[in-house]
Amino acid sequence: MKQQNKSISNRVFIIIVCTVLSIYALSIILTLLWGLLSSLKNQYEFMFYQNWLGFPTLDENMLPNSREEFFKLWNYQVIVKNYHYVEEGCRTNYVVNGVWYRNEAKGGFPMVIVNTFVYTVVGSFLHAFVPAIAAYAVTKFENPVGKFMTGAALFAMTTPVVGTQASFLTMMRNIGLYDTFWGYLLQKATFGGMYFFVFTAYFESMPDSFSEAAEIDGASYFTILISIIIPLTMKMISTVLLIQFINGWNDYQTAYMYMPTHPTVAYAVWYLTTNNASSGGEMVVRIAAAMMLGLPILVAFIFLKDKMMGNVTMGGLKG
Amino acid sequence: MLVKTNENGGTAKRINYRKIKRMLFFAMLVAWPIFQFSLCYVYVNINSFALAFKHYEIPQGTLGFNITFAGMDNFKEAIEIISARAYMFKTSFLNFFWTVLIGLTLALTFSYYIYKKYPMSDLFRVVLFLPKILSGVVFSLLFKYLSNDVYKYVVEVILESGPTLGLMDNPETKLATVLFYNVWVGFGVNVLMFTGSMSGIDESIVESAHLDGVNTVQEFIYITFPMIWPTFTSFFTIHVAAFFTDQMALHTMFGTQGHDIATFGYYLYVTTASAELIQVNATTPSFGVLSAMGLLMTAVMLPLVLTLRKVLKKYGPSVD
Repeated sequence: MKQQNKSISNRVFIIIVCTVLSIYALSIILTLLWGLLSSLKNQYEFMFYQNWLGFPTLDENMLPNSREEFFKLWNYQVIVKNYHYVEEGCRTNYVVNGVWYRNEAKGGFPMVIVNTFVYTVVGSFLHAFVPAIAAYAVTKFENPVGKFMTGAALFAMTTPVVGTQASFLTMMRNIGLYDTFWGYLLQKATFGGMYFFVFTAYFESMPDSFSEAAEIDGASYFTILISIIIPLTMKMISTVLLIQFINGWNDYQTAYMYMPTHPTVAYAVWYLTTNNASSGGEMVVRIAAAMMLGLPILVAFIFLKDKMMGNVTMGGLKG
Repeated sequence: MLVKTNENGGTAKRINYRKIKRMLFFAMLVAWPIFQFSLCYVYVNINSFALAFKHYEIPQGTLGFNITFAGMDNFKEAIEIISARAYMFKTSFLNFFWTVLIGLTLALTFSYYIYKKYPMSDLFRVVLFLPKILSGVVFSLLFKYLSNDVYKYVVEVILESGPTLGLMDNPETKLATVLFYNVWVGFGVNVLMFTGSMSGIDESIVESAHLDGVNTVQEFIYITFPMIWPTFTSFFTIHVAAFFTDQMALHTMFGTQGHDIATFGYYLYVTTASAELIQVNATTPSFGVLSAMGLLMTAVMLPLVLTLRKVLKKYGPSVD
């Protein structure tokens, strides 16, 4: 290995790729840093002082209230105050079986927190447990139904079907779940997808000795599942839960399409950043909104990066 | 269960009882997944097929729908829309070209660098994954301002090159800038999967190759790439399959104002969000037309992906 590292072609490869990756890493880090600094700037800094790249001005003689606004995180407060623009824009009208439905967002900013909680916590819980339970069933209770389920999940995952959103919307409206939490949870409580196969592989490698011993001792199947299987699988379930939590936190498109009057933080931020009127045209407020969405995940990522990235890698090996 | 004729008969009945309990418990575990799959995948796909052949209208003075068989009308309208927006082929193809040929090639190179544990590989691995972890709303907004307003400021004020348009405001550079953005934020999962796959390569094969005097590039071509070929083909196929669904981050960046450089995926998503069973306005087709459009795209994509998968599996490189 050492001999290979010393060869000229190898050194050239390392220098070129390292340079490209260093530039890439800098571009990512500086972009986020620029966003963070810009979110703390006074609204006039971009427009009148052309302070696009510098640090926030804290000189009150130059920019009145700039110091106070900086320390009070003024732009972040404006997002909460401007939230009513999002609420006013979140409306939906549709007809089902001759009945006219007209929904509007209600509850103000506190409702966004409730919506986000349901989206992320409950949604990720279902998105982690349903595939785990299904994988346990098809692996440990081998029968034709289980094999059919595995085949169906593989077919759905690998077969490209385009343009079924219209059909999905129609179905959701017809069964009365469009624009409701239940409709969202119905989508999330699916067993298919990559993690079903990750769990299947995990259960296949898990020895049956624990559950067999418990069965001889008279434990029911339900007791075995709750007391033995789930605790043994908890580490993997918690990792999938974490990944799905982040996906749920970042996802605004599901709410936009299927729950238009139940905005989450991601949906509200997307709305604020793509509609001129909602942020008063202030770039610093929009940037603050984006940072408000990104910072909690960034902090979580710093502490949990090994757990999150390790799981995705594992999925890759199984795939 | 009430009569025990002999020992063997009794045993047989106990086994049946256990089997029934097992089956009932299995049925309890899979009831919801099967119901959800039947409703959200099987029914939705069948309904999508049916919608493509239906025509909805609201008779005057009522709110109920009058449903008639549309024949091939929805398909004709879908083809007309696609023909009128032929530029979507160009943008979708350019997006595919950039994300696959440039994005995947770079991702493979970066993955190999990280797999070989060359300098700062741990840091690069984390940074490459960062755009995947943070919401697309965050990076797209910051990138939009940097490539538009900050770029304008740098060119006009710092470089003193005279008035210019931002890269996103300039119609000539808008598409290229968005394509660059998609490659820029798109390494995360690819790199993670490739490095994960590379880490599974048997060390003894690599060591014996080193003893034979192979250099870095030869090792990648003759050992690493063939060994991760199944992972690579999976990713390649996923990208091909996403030709008609990839939104190119246009909705995240521009909301409903990105039609000038729309891909098929963006058009389908944005139009579906504002469409209804009946045609609501001149520019928004009905759900039936959108479903017909989806069926046409599936008819193109399904055989292509299945053939591609077989060909890649059959003619892939080997480590011999």
